[in-house]
Amino acid sequence: MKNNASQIKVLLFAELSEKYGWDEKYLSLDLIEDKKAKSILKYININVAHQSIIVAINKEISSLEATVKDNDEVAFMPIFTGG
Amino acid sequence: MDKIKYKFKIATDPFNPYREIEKWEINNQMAAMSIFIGRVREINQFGSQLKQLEIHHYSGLTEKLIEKHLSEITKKIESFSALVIHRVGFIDPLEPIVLIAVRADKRGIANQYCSEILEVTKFKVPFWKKEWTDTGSSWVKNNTVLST
Repeated sequence: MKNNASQIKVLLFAELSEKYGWDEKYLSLDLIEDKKAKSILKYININVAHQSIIVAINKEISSLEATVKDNDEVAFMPIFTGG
Repeated sequence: MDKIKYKFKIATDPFNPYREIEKWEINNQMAAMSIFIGRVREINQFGSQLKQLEIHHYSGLTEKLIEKHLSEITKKIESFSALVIHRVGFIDPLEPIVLIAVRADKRGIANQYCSEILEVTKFKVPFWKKEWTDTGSSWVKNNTVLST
């Protein structure tokens, strides 16, 4: 299924990954009507405040309003706490 | 031959910051150098004894964002070079987490960018800390703010 052109790869990190019990999923983009990152978040049932989520698309920092394309890698991340 | 202006490394094993600086300095001697070494605290965010700190990152994006920042500095400042090392994985109390060494021809530039790069590693790139104690673990929710 990984090679299906209509799929996207969704990643969760750190606390999000632990809380929801997975770190990587492949989804059909056809399931997301407006193709926006925030709608993917809703589809995968991640219920957290939008201001506490950082989005990256294809390893570029993006936003929940961004539109996702086939084969994109979409990452949802909690606030960074490194250093 | 052009000098390498910066080096960023994710360390999965313990590292000796002084040894790393020594190796870096061989080809990067300038008049001023600022160094920051961050170590794991012995106490967690709730005041309990810390057993280990666990650090996660987003392989590929973490490197890309730090290197982008370092590259932008080199476009502005000719006499600048930096070494940045950040640990990931399980780390014991008082082991180094982060090393930032900045060389420049003026102390002001070295100090300024050493501090700036540290703040970038804390707030602008994907690293996450999880604190382990004898009774369990908890994710660090907010990073410490810069204070004196």
